[in-house]
Amino acid sequence: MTKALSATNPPHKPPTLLPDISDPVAAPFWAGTQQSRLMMQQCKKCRAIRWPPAPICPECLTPGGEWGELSGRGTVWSYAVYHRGFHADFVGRVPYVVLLVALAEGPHMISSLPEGASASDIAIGAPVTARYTQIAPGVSLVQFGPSSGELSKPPA
Amino acid sequence: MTRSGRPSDVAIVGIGSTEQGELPGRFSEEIAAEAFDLAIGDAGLAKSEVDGLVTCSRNGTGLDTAVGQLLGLNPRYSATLDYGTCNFSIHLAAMVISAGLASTVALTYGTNVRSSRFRFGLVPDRYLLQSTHGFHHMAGPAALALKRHQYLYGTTEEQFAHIALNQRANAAKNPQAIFRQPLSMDDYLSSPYLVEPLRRLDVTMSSDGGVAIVMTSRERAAQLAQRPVYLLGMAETTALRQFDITDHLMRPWLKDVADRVYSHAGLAPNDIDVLFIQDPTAVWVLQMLEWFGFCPVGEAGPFLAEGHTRLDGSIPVNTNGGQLSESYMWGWLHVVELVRQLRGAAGQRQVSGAEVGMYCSTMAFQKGAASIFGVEP
Repeated sequence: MTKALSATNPPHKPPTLLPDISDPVAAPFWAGTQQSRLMMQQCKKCRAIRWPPAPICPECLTPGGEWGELSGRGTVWSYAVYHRGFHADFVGRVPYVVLLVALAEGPHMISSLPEGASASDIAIGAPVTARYTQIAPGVSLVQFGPSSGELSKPPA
Repeated sequence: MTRSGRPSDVAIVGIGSTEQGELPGRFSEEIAAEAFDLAIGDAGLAKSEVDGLVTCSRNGTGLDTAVGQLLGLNPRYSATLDYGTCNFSIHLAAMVISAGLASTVALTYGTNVRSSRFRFGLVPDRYLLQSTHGFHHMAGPAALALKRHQYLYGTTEEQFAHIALNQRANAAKNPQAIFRQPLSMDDYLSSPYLVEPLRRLDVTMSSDGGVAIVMTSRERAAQLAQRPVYLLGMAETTALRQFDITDHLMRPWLKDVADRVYSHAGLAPNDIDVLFIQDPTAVWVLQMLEWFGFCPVGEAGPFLAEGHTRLDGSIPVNTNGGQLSESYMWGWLHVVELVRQLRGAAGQRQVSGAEVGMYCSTMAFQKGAASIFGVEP
């Protein structure tokens, strides 16, 4: 498992856009990121891995689902560099990179680059690995950085 | 019917559009009502002859009950769609007329998003799985799709630029357009990114304004003032499986819409004289040129660079200037311009001999629709 980045990052104002980590449908996902684990639901009946979290399986409509840990590995499907922050939390963060990751287990998920990485560190098709960044007490994001090599600058 | 398309039983017989830009102090329904008045005037209809109302709502404004009340109507059929592009509204009105629920339907959209300083792109996703990463605004998924298109097919920034450049050149000939100053390739390439590789010039403006359209039966249309513009074919899809489906952002699900709209009309891409593609961002144009069969998938870049989509090209696109340069009316002005083109009333922007037009649109990355219209020679 890749070492989590420092929980004292980032040196920004506290974010206001924070998930309700007690919402029962998504709570196990947020509990997982807090432990540096990428968790998703798998349907008990058809075994489809589900993303985003949902109370029923969108393939076979079976309620519930078993939460399990993914490898945290994937490849970059695409990425984009935000030069404008549309929400106040992100105004001071530009430029920042959002990427769509094709996970090894199949699902695709929107994520971002961890602190210290820049667009020049990744490419479409390149392997990326999950890293975890605490953004507020009890809330960590799963981000994806290059699987090999150093970041262009070390975390502050 | 022209070019052996299927016979059509409904037509657009009236169009109206208000001043575009900033209309401070006016509310959405009031602007929609002005457009309604212009459209029935264009059709040569009295208010009392309108027995159906289909309105388009944004942010809770523009409901049929509010617009209809302002207009003093008791329609036989009345409904609201809370998403735009106009295609879905046209299809609903066509079904209402064909089903006999009403005979003459007015469609309206009015908005004050600009003067009310509406902030686009800040509706957070459920559970904030994307919003917490800063994935906001339609420019985000559009930029991901464009980057992927560049990677897969070698599409260059210069090729992609032709969408914004062509539309600005068209807008320069459109007195109603908001952005009419010339735009060169150098201007474009030196302009700032919004969400790289997408530039500000590739993304819709925000504007106030109103648009209305009147549709009626073929029989009634024959008695009215304007040359009827018949609806020859329509198709829709709703694609709600999102990022868990590979390549969803490339919109391969539009291929099915294309197949069905051509089949419904009995026509093919080379029958289309003038093409309208709703453009929240220029990426919509890039993708739909391909999925609607004007060039092979992956080849929209060279197709644009070769000039095919220019006013004097083989398939002129968004002759009004679109949402990048004319005004942001959620696609509704594209339909107004299509009607003008098929009436032969597009002035300096007229496409010679235009008899068949198509309008393609999507609501975000969730719904897609297309309509083909034609006139009798």
